[in-house]
Amino acid sequence: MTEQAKERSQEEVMSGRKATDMAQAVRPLRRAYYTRLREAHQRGEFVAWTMWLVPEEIFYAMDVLPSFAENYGPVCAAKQIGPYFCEIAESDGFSMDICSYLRTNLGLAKRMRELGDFPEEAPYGGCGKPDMLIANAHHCDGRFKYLQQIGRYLDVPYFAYDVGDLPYGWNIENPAIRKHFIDHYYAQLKRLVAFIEKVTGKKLNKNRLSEALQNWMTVQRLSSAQAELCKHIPNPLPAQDAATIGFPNMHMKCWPETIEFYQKVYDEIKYRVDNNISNLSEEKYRLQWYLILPWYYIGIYNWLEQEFGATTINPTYAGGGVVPPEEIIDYDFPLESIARKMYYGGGVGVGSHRDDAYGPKLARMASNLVELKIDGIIGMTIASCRATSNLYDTWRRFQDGLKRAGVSIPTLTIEADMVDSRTYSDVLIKDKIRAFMETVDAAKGERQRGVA
Amino acid sequence: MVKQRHQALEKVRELSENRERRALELKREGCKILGYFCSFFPVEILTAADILPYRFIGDLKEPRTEADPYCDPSNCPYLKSCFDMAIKGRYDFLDGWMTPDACDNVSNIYRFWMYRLAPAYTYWINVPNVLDEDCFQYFKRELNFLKENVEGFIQSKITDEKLHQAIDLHNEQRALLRRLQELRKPQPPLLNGSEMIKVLRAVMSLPVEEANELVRSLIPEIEGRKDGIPRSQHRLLVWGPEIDDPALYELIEDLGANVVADDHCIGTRFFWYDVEKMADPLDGLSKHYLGDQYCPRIIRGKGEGWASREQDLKDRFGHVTRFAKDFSVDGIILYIMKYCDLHEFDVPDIRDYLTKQGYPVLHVETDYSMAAVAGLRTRIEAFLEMIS
Repeated sequence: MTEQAKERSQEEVMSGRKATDMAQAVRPLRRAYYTRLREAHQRGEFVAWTMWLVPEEIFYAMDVLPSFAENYGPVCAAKQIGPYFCEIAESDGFSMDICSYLRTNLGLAKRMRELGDFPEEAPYGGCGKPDMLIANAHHCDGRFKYLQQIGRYLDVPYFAYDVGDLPYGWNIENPAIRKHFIDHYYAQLKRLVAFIEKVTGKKLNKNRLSEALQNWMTVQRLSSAQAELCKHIPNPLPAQDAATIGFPNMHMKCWPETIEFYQKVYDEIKYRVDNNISNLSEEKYRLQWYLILPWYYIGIYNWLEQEFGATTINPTYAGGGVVPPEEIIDYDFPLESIARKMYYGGGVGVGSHRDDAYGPKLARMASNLVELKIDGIIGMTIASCRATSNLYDTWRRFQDGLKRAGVSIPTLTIEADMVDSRTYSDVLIKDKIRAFMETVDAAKGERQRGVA
Repeated sequence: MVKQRHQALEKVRELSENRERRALELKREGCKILGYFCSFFPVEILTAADILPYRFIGDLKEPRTEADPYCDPSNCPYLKSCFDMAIKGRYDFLDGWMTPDACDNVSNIYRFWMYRLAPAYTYWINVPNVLDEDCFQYFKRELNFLKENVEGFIQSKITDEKLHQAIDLHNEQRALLRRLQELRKPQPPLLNGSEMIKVLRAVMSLPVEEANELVRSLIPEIEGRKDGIPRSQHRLLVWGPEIDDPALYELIEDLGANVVADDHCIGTRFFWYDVEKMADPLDGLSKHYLGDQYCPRIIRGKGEGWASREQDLKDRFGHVTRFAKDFSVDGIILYIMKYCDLHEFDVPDIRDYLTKQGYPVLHVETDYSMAAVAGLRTRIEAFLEMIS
């Protein structure tokens, strides 16, 4: 085997061999997007460093390209350079306990300051020189703190807007509560628009915003439909493909090209469903991966296939999310509609993280496990991710829900980080998984005999 | 050295070590008691409802035998300690508890607590992260929802008059604590750091009038102190999140230094600024609890970008150097609890800011346990030698 072939083969092992055509179609799309970020200023576009759950429609309407830390962190991880940037951030005093997506980008920014440009080692030539930093605290604290700290290295305007969450026990349909949140979101979105207008010198085009909102809704419907298809047995979209296919949904959600892309994704998955196509001739086991994966080793899913005949479903990346009720969307008033959409959990999700829907949400997931004939669940406990530092509680709730259903599905916790591969021990983790699979096999046998 | 009897100080020590004692007595008398986390929580609303607001504090000396198996390893150790105490029944006297949207760690613990213990009554209040006018109005509405919820709990209205009275009482408390804090200015200070922590632990477990009376009686006692704190070469300021146990300060004092000032959740953040008296008391509460808390969770400068990086750093940390100057501090310890993202993110900025102002800085990242505190001895010793 040539050196190049060996390198490609090793890369494939780590980033996963994809089963679907559309997962493989993401690579040129991603490359094109990062090229576009790099060349944004030449085209009169602007770049915002930001994080997931911002209203992408506003960016689209104002020729601002978002660059997401939650994507560039995994890109660096997949290129096996995550720890390098993390260490640079740590050398400046940032704790190893801070989100590794953010540590990666902080380390990258520090290098940018030293060099005046992206370092050579930055994948895809970097993630676009930012013209602005747009932050909110939705979903986790790191979001607004990290971008504030980017100010240590890059002299770029920073903007933070607020997003509250529907608290526990509140009735989402209470008119006073609904008005309270929607008024707040709308006021904050207007601030955001005013800030972007100031930085770019361009006014928000309402028609373009309306177009962006329409595109967003179409992509969200496709994503939701895709998620329904992914419930099919055998698994039409293995986890290694799901992890990749989410890229346009994050970066380019409002683009017409993205609609085309996800229509093709839907069509391919539908074809696989209609023809019972899986990348395993026999799904001996069906595993669910809970939430975040080790981005430096997406190939772990191929290993599970080869070692155990186990297919893995990762609902977090297999599409889905809330499609806001159509009646709250008025394309003649797009900004107001986006504020209402935020309230009803349209991808942004008031109540997506901190409300008392958490309990029922986990109960639904527990019953989905039965419906999807899941034999075992694997999750990572990630020291650097505070938003997901609730895995053990989640397992308890799953198990309590499954017990009520009279079903036993084993869970496994592995300790590793999502980007910082220094935390990942291949030997230890695979030994753990091997032992776990024996438990999975035993539990499956009992279910089949009607014992559990 | 004259040995004096300090009645008020002894009472403080006793209340600090047995915080539940007075709460249990009040409970038997029919008083409602609600626990709360964080300096962002508007205690005046509970006081106005004749409810005792009881600040949650962990137990550094208690191994987290019940909470640790339940929680993720990467949850805040201080919150796990509080949760551990609750599982062990040490907070059974509470009628419920409330929390502001302080941080992701509180969000997680809230979930675990709800599921594991199913408390009878809880409330979660959103607190914005940004200081623009819309956020103040939004927060005012949140305070109103909280007020209405508490009214439902006590089956009675909380009038504006009662709120104004509660604000006056808590402002009086803040003023008394500031006076006490002033007594740490002399060299040597008349009150050392570990004693101040004990005062705050006691105050946060008592009804406001009783707490005020305690501090009122303590001040002349300390002012007239003759068996003073030994003169120390070094005066330190501690910055960080929840530092609710005297152990760290006692360690520092044991090494011959004094903690004379602080900026943390149980310290000056709790009492340094008053609630402004406004026609609508909720306006005053909104302005205070959002604008006067110098916690890293608040983006200062209205969140609209900063006029300059220097101005942003001054907005965020200028008050720390003011404390350091006013209290003649010659060294600063950044005492960071593991997994406290909000403070951890700020470490490089505050470290550099303080160093540029000429202050030696020691950054420690630690757990919430006696072993963790003891493990800092050598580092603090070395720091004190370095600044000699």
